[in-house]
Amino acid sequence: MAPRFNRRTVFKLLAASSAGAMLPWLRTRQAAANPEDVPLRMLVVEVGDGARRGTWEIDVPGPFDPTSLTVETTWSLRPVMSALAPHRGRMTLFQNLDMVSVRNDGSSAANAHIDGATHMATAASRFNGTGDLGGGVSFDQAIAAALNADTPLTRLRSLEVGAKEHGASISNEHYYALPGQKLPFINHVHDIWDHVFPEPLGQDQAEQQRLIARRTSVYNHVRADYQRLIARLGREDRDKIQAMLDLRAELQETLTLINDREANRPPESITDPFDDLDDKYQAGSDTNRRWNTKVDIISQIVAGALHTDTTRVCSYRIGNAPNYEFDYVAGTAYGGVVTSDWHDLNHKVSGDNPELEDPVAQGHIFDMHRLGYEKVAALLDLLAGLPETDGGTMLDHTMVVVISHIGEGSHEVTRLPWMVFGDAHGALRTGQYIRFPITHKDDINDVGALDYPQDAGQRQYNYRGRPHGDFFTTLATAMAVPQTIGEAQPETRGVIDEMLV
Amino acid sequence: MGRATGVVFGGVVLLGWAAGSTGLSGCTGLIGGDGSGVTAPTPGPERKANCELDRAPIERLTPREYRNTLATLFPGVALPDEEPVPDERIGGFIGHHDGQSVSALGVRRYEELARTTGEAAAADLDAWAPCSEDAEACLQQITTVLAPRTYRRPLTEEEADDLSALASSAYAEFGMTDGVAVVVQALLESPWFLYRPQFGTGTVVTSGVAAGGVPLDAYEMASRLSYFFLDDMPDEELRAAAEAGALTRDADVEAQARRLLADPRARPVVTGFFAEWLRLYKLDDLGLDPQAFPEFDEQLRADLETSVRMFLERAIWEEDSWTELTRGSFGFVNDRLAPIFGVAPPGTDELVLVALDPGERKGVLTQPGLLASTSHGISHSPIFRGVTVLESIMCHKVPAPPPGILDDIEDTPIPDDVCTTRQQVALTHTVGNCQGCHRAIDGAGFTFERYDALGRYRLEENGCEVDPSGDFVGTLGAVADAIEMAEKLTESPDASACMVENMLGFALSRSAVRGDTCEVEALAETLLAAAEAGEDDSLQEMVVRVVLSPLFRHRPAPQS
Repeated sequence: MAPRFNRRTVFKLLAASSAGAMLPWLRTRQAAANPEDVPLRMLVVEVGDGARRGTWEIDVPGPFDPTSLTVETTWSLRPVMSALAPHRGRMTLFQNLDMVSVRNDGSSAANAHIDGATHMATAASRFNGTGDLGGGVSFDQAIAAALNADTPLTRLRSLEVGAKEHGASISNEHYYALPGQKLPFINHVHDIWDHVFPEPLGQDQAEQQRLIARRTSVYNHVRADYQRLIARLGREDRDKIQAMLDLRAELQETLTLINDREANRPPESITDPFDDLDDKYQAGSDTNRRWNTKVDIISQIVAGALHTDTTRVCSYRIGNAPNYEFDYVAGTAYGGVVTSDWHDLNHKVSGDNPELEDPVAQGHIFDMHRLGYEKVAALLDLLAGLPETDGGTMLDHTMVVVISHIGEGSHEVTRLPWMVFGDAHGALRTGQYIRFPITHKDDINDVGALDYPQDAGQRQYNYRGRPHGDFFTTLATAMAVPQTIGEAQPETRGVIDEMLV
Repeated sequence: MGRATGVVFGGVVLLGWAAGSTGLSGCTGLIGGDGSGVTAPTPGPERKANCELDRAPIERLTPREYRNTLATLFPGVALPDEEPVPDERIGGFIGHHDGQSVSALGVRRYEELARTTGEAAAADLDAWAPCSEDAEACLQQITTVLAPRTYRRPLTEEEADDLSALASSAYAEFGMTDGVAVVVQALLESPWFLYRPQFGTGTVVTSGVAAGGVPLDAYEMASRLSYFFLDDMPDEELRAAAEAGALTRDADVEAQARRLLADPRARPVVTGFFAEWLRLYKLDDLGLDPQAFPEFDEQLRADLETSVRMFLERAIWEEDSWTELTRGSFGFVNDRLAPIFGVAPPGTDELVLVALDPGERKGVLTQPGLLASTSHGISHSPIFRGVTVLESIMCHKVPAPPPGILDDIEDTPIPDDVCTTRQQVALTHTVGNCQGCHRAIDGAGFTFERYDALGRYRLEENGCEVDPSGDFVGTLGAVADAIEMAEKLTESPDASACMVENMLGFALSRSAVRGDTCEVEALAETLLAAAEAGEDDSLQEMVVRVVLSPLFRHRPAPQS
């Protein structure tokens, strides 16, 4: 179970985070002699819309051989990801990682984003043939469930948070506790804070005990009611209601924790503006600045949740800045049209050979994508600055997985700019650039709309690479809870051997 | 990107519904073998064979139902402002069981709401409780009265004993006020309150549409009726009917349905169904470039939405007519909307009824609020309009574009003589296999080309004459414009069946399934026959028929 800790404000955390200043709750944790005694965590970070093809992939030396797997250890990040350079030695970056499962899904997605969104974390066909919902358990939830299978390891089995804009629907969340059961993320700073660091029970010890007794009375009755209902339900409904009860039990753990009464909740006057983001057209608004700050605050809370061992699995959606400096109306017209909508512009500046050659527009999109990786880098820096009880850092004990629901603005779900950081306590190789083989066009030609790269013999290939389910299966192995994740595809090979030590 | 999926190309929102390659199963379905990539519901004879009860998933109170129910349980109490975590829309509707996710945040919010409601209710017993003195007997009395109302059924002996024990211990340990708070919180966190479980009762039906099912018991029926019409818990009359066992008979159900339909509280709920069916909520997400549309602001957005709702209210509650809904040439206009409707300003900020030129606007689909709801950035979108109409009005399934298709589209050169949005869209859909899907999508969407991004009527775009002819592949066929489309819509079996299918799904909190098709067709035929005969094509009567449907009143028998 998680240690009991003193609450500290997000702002104290912000102030303390640089260069690994000692955080108060560390005093409550037992020193660990060996790195293996420190828990291994998994942090899944979803950045906005990937990165434009051709801007991030590494030119592997030698002739282009699309049929062979290439592993490079001497390589450099390209400018759009340059913020990650200090952590290159810890990372593995992939080329031709591919949501193959999308193409084999028999249902029709509600829209092109949903195509990737429903498959991104599940690698499985959609739920009951619906166009909106994922049909598998997402890899983060599968791993969290396995970690906590026998007995709860941590107070929160997993944590799902996002820096999404206020008022948006849950359509942007792509993780599933059960098939068809989408996990709404917590998007508001205060909600996240309260979820991770429970409300204080009161200064007075007797009052604390009284409140705990009240909550226990309520919970015991509610639990019995749930159990009576569950006993009468069919399987589908039973799973859903059981999941409610499991979460209620988890909440009960939180509600009955005793902690001190430091009034450390971030003042609403400070945090509320960051919960009031909206991604509609907001000319002249300061939403970007507020989004930036909100991401920074949530990153701090995420780091705190992992550091206090409140959870060992966290899924964090950074998303896109709501309106990143896109005052493009004054820019060069494209097809007679100009736009101030970053969403449109992102679509237009996509692919290997975008029609829109305007360097200003391309610069906007480049900045947008780079900003996402800068946020990832800042999070890595934060983890690297938090000391662990074995003398290492949080980053040494966290596997950070960076994903996106599409590859880039074209809705493409091949050539995913995905990566993983950390060696997972020695399970993963690091510092690698892995380029997976792709398929000869004559063998599988189901992606007719794509451009076809050619080898030296002018033979054309599909960008149909390694199924991303294999990536998830490998991550589960690295987290010491081996299991196959996702539906089997013709290209499925199981764990990616090149990733594992 | 979480925004609407689209790409502006040459002034055209091309949101990517392009035909897939041969590997995209979503584009292989045909409408009557016409080669369109958009799939229609299974036709005629095969549908007739599908008459059976299907899934009956457990339903949770929607946030609106939750809030209304608390207000009914605790009249006069200052309830918390917060609401449960919103449901996700599925197929356009809030309350679909697939959109009712289970989440840590949701559970936490339920706990907070139950706790704060319990504390508020405990502090104001005189407002709602049967007694208020500081005595265990009073707390027991409160529990005895409140619990069956909260669970919307009588308690089992075990439940009653448990609650009595909770009340006793809570009073002993925490006193009266906190004791009441504990009991109320426990009741409001119970799954019997949050959900509406249905198990049915009696013998399994062996024939007809409900074959294989069991009738809902009287209390389950009372809840289903009440939440369908009022978004609220059963009132005293429904509870009395349930206690008398009266809600298992056709005549009693019909009497209650008609009573509830006449309740003013039913109006926003029924109107809300039509608004969701037509996806009016998309107007909330309308983002128009302020430089291109300087007149567009939040006030105009609100006016547009209210205007559509008022159109619906008139069609449903005053005209009570499918024909008026699909063909009515009227609108609700104020000075701000007058330029958009193309009528003289009425001299008021209030929305007032005006007759519209039937040559320009006919039916709800030509209302500016709905036309604008699918616009994007700087342009209207024939593709969005086509997809929305096909999905919501014709119940067709429109697949997403295959990955990568936009690259090819963007490679398509645009000749200088391309002038209108339609021309640009048509040109880009010559790429690859786009026509597989876009023959149907564009055919529907082009019908509305005489309306710009704000729904203003026009004859020209960029100085060129617009072509509003369309083709509803496999359903309405070729139409000259949106006016002819509206006329055909009234008499369309596909459109009426789709409306009924949506209403039935709305009532059952799920999507239509194959087993519904018999009932959907039978219900739709009554509406259509009345409209064709110029008789009473009553929308309100259709609501009652849905309630009387065996699908509404039964659930599949539990598997042994």
